[in-house]
Amino acid sequence: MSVQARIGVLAVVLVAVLVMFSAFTVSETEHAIKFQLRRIVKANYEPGLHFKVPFFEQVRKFERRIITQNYPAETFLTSEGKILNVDFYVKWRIRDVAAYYRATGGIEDNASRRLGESVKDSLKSVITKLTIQQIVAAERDQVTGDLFRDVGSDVKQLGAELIDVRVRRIDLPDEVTGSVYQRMQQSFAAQAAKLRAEGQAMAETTRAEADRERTEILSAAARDAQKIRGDGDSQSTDIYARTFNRNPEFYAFYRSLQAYRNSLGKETDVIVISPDSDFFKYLNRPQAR
Amino acid sequence: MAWNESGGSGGNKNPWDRRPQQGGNDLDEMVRSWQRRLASLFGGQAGRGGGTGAGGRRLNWGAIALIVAAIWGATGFYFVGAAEQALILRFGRYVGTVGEGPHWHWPWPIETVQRVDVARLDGIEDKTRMLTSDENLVDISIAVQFLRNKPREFLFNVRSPEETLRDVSESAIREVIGQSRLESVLGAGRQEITDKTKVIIQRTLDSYETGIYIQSVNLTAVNVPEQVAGAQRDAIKAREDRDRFQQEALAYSNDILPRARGTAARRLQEAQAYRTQLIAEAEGETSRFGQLLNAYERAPSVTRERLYLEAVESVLGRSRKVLIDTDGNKMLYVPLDKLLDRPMPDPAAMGQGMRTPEVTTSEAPAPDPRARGER
Repeated sequence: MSVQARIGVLAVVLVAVLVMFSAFTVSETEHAIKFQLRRIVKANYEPGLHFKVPFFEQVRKFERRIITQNYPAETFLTSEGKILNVDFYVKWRIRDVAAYYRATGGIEDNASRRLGESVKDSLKSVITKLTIQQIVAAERDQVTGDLFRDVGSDVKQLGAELIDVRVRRIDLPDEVTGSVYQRMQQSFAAQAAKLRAEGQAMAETTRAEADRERTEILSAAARDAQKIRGDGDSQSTDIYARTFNRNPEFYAFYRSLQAYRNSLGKETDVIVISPDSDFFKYLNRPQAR
Repeated sequence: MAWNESGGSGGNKNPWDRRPQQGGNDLDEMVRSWQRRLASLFGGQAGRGGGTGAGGRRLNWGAIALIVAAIWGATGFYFVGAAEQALILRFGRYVGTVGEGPHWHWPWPIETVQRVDVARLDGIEDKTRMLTSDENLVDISIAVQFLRNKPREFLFNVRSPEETLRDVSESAIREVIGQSRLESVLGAGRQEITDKTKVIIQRTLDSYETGIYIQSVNLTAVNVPEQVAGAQRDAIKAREDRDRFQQEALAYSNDILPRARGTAARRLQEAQAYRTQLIAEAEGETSRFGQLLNAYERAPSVTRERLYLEAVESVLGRSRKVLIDTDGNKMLYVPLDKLLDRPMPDPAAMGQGMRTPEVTTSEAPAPDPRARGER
C-alpha cells in the first residue's frame, strides 16, 4: 500500500507540474500568441484556459483593451501661417494580434510611435487647410473626418484598429499669447468705455427727457394760467364796462376821486397847493357863490 | 447570463466552460472522488480501530491533503457589498456577475473575482487654459462626476478608463469652449456649455464602451488669465457704472418732474384765484358804483360837490400841506428835502403782489383825462 501511495502522490505531483507548464489562461483583457520555436502557430485566442506543449511552445500576451496614447504638444502651421501647439491623443486597439506582432515586435511603444507619426502627418495636412479659428471651433469630425481614411492603411498594417483621434489641447506659442492678452485687455477696455459711454448717453437722455417734460409741464401750466387770467381780465372788464357805461362822465369823476384818495394824502406827503383852487374858494371869499 | 452565451454553443474548447451546477465535469468528479477517498480513509481508520505504522503514515498524508483542500476551498468565500458588483472570471474568462451578499467561487487559480463599486460617485477635476472661438484665452476648471455603471465594460474594454475620462473631458470642454465666444463663456452661456460638454463626454465614452456614466459636469471656475483680470474687473465695474449713471438720471428725473407738476398746479391755482378775485372785485366795485350812481342821478350836483369835497378833505386831512399864495412873485423857500427825508413805508410792498390787478383796472376804464378837463 505504501508503495502504491507513493506512486499515487508522485503521479499527482507530476500531473500538476505538467498542467502547470502546459496550461495557460487568457484573460478578458488580453490577446495571446502561441509560438512554436518562435513561429506563430495560433493567435486569435478567446479568453479562458488554453494549453500548449511545455517548453516547445511559448505564449506571449498582449493588450486587448483600448489603449490611449497621448502625444505631447506638436507644432502645427495653420493656413494663415500661424503656429499652434496641439496636443492630441489616439485611442487604438490591437485587432489582428499576429499582424501586430509582425509589424511591431509586440512592443506597444513602437506601435504608438508609428500611429502617432501617421496621425500627426494627417493632422498636419488637415490643419494647414484651416485657420486658427476654424481649428479651435471645429467639430471633431471636421478635423478627424479625412484623417481616418488617411491613416487607414497604416493602421491596418500595424494590425491595429484606430478608435478615435482627439485634439486635447490647442495652445498658442508664448510669444503669441502675450499679444492675445494685450488684445483681450484692449477688448475689455473698449467694452468698459462703451458701457460707461452708454450709461452716460442713457443718463443724458433721461435727464433731457425730464427737462423737456418739466418745461412742457411748466409752459402748459403757464399757458393755461394766462388763459385763466385773461378770462378773468375779460370778464371783469366786461363787468366794469357794463356798469360804467351807464354814466361814463360820472365814472371818470368818481374814479378820479378814488384815485386821489388812494394816491395822495399819505401822512408823509407834502402837498403844495395854491389857495386859488376850487377847494379853497370859500377860504378867501365866503360869499363866492 | 454570460455563461449561456458561451455554454450554449455546445462546442466548447475547454472543460471549464460550464458552471458547476450543470454537473458532470471533471473538476467536480475529481473533487468528489477525493472526498470519497478521504472519507474512506477516516472510515477505514475508525472501523479498524488502530493500525500499523504504514496506516499511520497514510492517515497523516490524507489529513494534510484534507486540510490543504479545506483551506483552499475556504479561500473561495467572498462578500459583495451593497453597492458592489462582483465579476467572476474563470481562467480569465468572464462567466458572470453577482450582486450583494455572501458568495463562493472556485478558488484560485480556477476562478477570480473582480469587484466594481457601481454606486460610488467619483469625480475628476481639471483646470486648463483654452482658446475660445474669438481667440481669447480663458482658464476653465471643470469637475466631472461619474459612476461605473457597466462594470464589465469598465474592467475589460479600456485600459485605464479614468485616465480616458480625463482625456475625454479635456477634449470635450476644449471643443465646446472653442465653439463659444468669450462673452458667453464668462456670462450666460455656462449652462449650455456644461450641457453640451456632458453630452460629448458621454457620447465619446460610450463609443469606447468604457462603462462610465457621467452624472454631472460642472464648470467650477471660469476666469480670464491673470494678465487681463484687471481689465475684466474694470469692464464689470463699467457695467455697474452704467447702471449707476442711469439710476442717477432717473433720480434726477424723479426729483424734478413732481416738483414741476407742483409748480404747474400752483400757477394754475394762482391764475384761478386771480380770475376769481378780479371778477369778485369787479362785481363788488361795480355794485358799489351802481348804487352810488343811482343816488347821484337823484341829486347830481349836490352829490358831485359832496363827493369832491369829501375826497379832497380826506386827501388833505391826512397829509402835511403847504399853502402858497400865488399872488406876487415872492421867493419862497420850502425845505422839501427835509420834509421828505423821513422813513417812509416801502411803496413796493404796498403796490405789488396781489394788488397788481389794480393796475389793469385803472388802465382799462381810467384813462379819461376828459373827466379832469371837463371839471
